[in-house]
Amino acid sequence: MDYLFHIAILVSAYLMLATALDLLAGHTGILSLTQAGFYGLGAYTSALLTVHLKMPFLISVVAGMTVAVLVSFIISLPSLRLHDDYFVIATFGFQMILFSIFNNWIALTRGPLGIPGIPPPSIFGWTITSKIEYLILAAGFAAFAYAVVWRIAESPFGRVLHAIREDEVFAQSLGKNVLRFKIVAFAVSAALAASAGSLYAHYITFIDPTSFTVMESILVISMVIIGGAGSRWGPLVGAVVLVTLPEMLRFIGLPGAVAANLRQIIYGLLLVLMMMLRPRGLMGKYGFGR
Amino acid sequence: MPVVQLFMNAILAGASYALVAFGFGLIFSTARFLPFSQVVPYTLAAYSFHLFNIRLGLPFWIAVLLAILNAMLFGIAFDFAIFRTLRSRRVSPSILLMISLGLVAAFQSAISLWFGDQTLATRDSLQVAVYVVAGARVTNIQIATMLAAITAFIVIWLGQQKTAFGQAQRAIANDAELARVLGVQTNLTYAVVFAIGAGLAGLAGILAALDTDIIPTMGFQALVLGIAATIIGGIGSLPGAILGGILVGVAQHFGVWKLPTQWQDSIVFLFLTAFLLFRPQGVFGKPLRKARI
Repeated sequence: MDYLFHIAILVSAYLMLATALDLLAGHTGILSLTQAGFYGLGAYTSALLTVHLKMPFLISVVAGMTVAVLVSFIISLPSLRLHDDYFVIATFGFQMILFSIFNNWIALTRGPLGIPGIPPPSIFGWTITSKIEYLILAAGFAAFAYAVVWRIAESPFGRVLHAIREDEVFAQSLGKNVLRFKIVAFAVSAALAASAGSLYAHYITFIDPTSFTVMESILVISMVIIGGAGSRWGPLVGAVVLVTLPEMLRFIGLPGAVAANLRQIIYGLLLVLMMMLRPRGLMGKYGFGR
Repeated sequence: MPVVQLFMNAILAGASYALVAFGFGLIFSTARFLPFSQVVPYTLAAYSFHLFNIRLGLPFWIAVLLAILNAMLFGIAFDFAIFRTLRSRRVSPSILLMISLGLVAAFQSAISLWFGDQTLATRDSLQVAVYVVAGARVTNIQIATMLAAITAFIVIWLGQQKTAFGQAQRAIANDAELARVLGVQTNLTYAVVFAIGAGLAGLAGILAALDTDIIPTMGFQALVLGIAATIIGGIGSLPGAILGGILVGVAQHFGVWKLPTQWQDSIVFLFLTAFLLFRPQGVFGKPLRKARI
């Protein structure tokens, strides 16, 4: 039973990441490779605050989200007004920079050694000790992220995002400040990814840079695309499929490293196959990048 | 004279980035999507070379040739299996980009599975010789990289200007639809472009493998720097790729003169961001437009 809870918690974390990216990719039509970087920013910020400064969990989560939003401005302000291809390259480069910071700023992050001993979350006196309690917290976080993105998507703000996705120049010509909308969407996406990072950090109680590489970003992209970008259930389906499918490999009794590589092969090939055969994903109505 | 040595290192590193930029820029300007898939032929050639030369014991030059052929085969396979099908469907570049990313993820793990994650050394393949040129020390591999970049530049330049293929490639890069309508052999040209692009990446990968060691993730680092060189120099411009490579090399090596070495790639990237801010088309390129009227 504990194992099922563990899977459910992982699915929740990835659901948050996928939903956050879906706001950008599915609703606004912008691809970003920096999701893992924001995930890591949230994880490292809240881990450092709870381990070294003994801050309360929720404050550390908010701090992580704030850092991610500020970093998102550094990336988005110079590059979002440019052609989409330049933006993808900019996010790719920033992902590499963020990973480099996690891995090389030894004084702050202990580099490859990672940060151990992250305390379990404690919210208004309720300290989380068991897996089922953590699942409740994780589900709460995931529901929050999902609700945020859903509300945005259904709102007038979301309508403009969809317009930008369909035809950016046209939206601009109608007087919408396209740049401002995109910057806000990017910032919200970064904040949600960061909150997922805080959740992950306090669950696993140890983080190191290898969880936040560009491959992780590609995994999140795969979840969004395979699930179906821009659709209501797409990110959930994508997260469930891509988390549980490789877990089943465990039951065949493969050694850990082999299973991890097989997992990446599976989602890489799934992404390729999906894009070739059904670009709108399993649940999507909108084919990404028409 | 550290400045001379730094400058020499910068130019020689730049030659490697220029090679990657040639391949990336060629495919991007012709096929109109960001070919992150270039990571695959780069890494594939390096590992193939190791397989042929060190594991199978084939002679050095045979191994190099086979490895580059291997890389080119990937390029052709990509064209036939993926690009050709999707091109007739008029899919957007984002889909091709995502397919590239999926291929890279799958490929990197496949390499890890087959060869393991540990570093593979190429020390036994080649005797490293050090020369002194203009007061700076350079190795024979660095000189080879320089020569490879210059040769590639000349060959591609002449190919683009003087041959029918080159003319076809430039036509497709300018307006693919129109080129097809006017009877340009688009299918064949695309296949050649993908093969050459992959071959260039493979060449860069082998040279990098000879210079430093081989690890499954070597392609990504090289790609970031190659993309930076492409953007800074100007997408679609050959002289731009050379200039971009040199500038990236200079930023990298002069940057770590004063700062700790682990930040050398971040410095390059900040330099790239500055270019994106003020001159996104690079030094020699034409800007990418969101809409064409």
